[in-house]
Amino acid sequence: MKKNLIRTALLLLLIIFSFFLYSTGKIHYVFIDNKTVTSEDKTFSALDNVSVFVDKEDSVVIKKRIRKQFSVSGKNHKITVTIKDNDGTEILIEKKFSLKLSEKAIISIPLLYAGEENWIEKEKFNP
Amino acid sequence: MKKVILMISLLTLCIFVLGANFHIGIVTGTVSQSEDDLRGAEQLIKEYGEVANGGIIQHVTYPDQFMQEMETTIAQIVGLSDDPLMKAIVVNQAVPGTVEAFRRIRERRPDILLIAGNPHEDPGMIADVSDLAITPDNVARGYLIVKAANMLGADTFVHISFPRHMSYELLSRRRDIMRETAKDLGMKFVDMGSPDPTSDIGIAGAQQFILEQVPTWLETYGKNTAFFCTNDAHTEPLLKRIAELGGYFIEADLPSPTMGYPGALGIVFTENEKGNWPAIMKKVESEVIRRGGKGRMGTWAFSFGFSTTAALGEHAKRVIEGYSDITDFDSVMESYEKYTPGAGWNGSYYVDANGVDRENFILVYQDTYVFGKGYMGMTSIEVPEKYFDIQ
Amino acid sequence: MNKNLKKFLINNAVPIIFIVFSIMAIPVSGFSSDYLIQEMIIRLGRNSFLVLSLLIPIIAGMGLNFGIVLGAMAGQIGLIFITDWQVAGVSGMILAMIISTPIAIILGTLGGLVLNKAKGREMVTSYILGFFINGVYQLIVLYGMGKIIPITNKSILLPRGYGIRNAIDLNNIRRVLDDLIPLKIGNISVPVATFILIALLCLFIIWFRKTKLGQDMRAIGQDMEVARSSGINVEKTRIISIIISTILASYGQIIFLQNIGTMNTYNSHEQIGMFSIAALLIGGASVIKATIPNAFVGIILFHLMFVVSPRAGKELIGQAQIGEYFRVFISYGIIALSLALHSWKELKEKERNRTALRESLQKDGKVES
Repeated sequence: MKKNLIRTALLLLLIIFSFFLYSTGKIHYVFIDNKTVTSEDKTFSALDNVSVFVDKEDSVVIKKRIRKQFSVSGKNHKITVTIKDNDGTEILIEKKFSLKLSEKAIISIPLLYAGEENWIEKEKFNP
Repeated sequence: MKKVILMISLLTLCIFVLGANFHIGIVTGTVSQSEDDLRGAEQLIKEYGEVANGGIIQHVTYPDQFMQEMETTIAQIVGLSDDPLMKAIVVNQAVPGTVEAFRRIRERRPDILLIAGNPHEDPGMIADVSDLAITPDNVARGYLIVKAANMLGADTFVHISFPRHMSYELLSRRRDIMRETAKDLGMKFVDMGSPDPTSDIGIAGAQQFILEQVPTWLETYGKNTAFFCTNDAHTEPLLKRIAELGGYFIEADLPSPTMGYPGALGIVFTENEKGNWPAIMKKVESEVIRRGGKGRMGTWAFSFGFSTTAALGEHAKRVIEGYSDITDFDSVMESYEKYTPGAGWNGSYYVDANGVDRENFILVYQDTYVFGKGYMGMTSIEVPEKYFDIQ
Repeated sequence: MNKNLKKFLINNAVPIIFIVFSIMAIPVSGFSSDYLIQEMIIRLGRNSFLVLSLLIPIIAGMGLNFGIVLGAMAGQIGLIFITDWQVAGVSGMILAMIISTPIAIILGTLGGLVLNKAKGREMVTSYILGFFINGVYQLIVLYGMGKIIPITNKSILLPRGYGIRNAIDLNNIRRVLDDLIPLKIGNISVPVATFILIALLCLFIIWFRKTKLGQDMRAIGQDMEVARSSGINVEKTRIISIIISTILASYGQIIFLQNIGTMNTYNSHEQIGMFSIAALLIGGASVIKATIPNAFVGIILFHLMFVVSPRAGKELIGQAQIGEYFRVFISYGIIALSLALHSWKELKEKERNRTALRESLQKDGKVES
């Protein structure tokens, strides 16, 4: 009796552990656009000299009118964007965001740069 | 034992004294797997010499059983990066294992240019790890093959394939584009099933099927029918029947004058002619015309496997010497044209399913050559935008 | 003295032939020592777990377990699931192991039951059993997945909607264990975490031999009937040994594939049994006796040959494709050689035992010469 009880408890623990592994390891896709967008009748144009990294990955240069894809695992993430102005000054933007399981994020650099609220779009994602 | 060591050290010394200051590694299949790819490597060796003789080309092969022995493919490709003078590695065809091999080389030797020809693995994967990847442009060809058939006077287009091939994304997409094009040009499109040569029926059975069915198809759809098949084994019997009975054949799935024609028309090449494409073309063309296939049967004048191995090696050399940029589209086309005098090339960039642009993944196609008629000028025809959107 | 030397040579004939071969081939191939050392370290990390999973059935007298292919398939099913769910990193790898464990237990039990019906012919039976389960595996993966078992990830599913693609990208868990604790000595990187895991497995095997169960297995290995009469449940113990071997093989395959980085869904497991067993034999093991050092020595020698022979062939004969044929010839040739040498060794062993027995009997004066 006692033996069975211990076995069931261990099995339950294993299942809980598996769920924990699932939530920490689950991959999310983050798409980053450097494309001209129109939001609420205002136009935000694509930017030159943009480089981006998400979490601890290497930074990536995103040219105008290009979309790049990042994949990150876990729940909480941070995006760091460096934009070089025409006069050579560097602007650094850091934003944090979190994703639920089976969500993807689409981030627009021009909106982020302009400080708009809707810089990130989260969508349900079926690979 | 001592002698061997002495020889080796002498050889290495020779390399350092006489050799250029960089090497290019070429990986192809063997003669039994993919002869044309290997001939391309031999062409480069002829031109630039082998590393062992003080040249710049180091040629190795991947296993015939490349699906089972991926570990060996990886070891062969990565092994090239052991040479400190190695500056570029070209793999054609990039069989499974190439992606992993490239990742490993990247970690240890980020200075080596990694180039993949005709990749078998997922396009997105190979674009992530290589500096340049090249594959036939099946999207544009889906439009152009049907267009060429239309230009020659065909009114029906028959697409011959089987479920396993239709499970490849690019092949089924090309079929859908062909269907759409045929509809737009006012042609009848027939999606024809056939046995898979790798199934229990075997190559012989699959070829028998084509030999028996083509006459019936020609009767049903008329003489103005163009045929296209996705499998190499089907090409030979198809060509044989078309030469005898009529119908059109624009080009094979992987077009080359050595694809199907020699077997179908009983052409034998001499040792000197192997790898000499103008001579091969001349021989095939005169035989096709003799058999009455003039103006009905076509191909690419130069094998894709041969020209890709040679052109990628040449392009790598130009990049290392600083004459061009690795993803420079025009420079890649120039390298192709160097080995394919007279034939035009064109192509586009690969865009993946998420709409991400892949500037290092180039899709190419060569001008179609119809025997007894000459080049069709397909590379200067603009493919309408809408066909690229068919998924 | 001379007799001892002869005995040593006979006992270690296979490794000695390999060492001689390798010494000749290495300078011809022209590879740098850095490259070869790195390559051997990678291959030790990649293959050790699989080869070590062969040891426990040998203790139980069941010979070389070709059935580790079953475990490899269980491991691959675990990997298919975590790729479908898109779970990455070490979490993903451990999850794959957890999923593969019950499958390995079921397959191991099945294997054990069949092998109990074929006592004395375990090796060939387990070899054929591998083919049988391979058929079941293909049926499940090619038709069941996506139809009965839900798979949602389109990048691993065939476009027709069911069945898994030919090749799966394991980029999510690629090298996660190898690079968990990074260590670089000069130009050579060492997969510390993988080696720690392998060391733990070695400790487990050493400890296991001393447990009650391990002792029972050894007794069964020596004489099944004696073991039975002393109250050991022979059938059950043999099944347990196969189950342990199968579970370890499934973990081994996961470790192997996290290093390789891509999985050929229908081919990756096929060669595992053959190559692992060849490596163990080359290390000097036999059907009845295998030690942990045998496994490591065997892996190094076998894979050294694998890496060196294609290049050596190319440099000797001058044509790239000849190098490839040379490798196939050498590598499969040496597997055949080691199996032949192995049975020759067995014969010698028997002969020596017979002479020893006769000599001792003569000394006791029981047999007239």
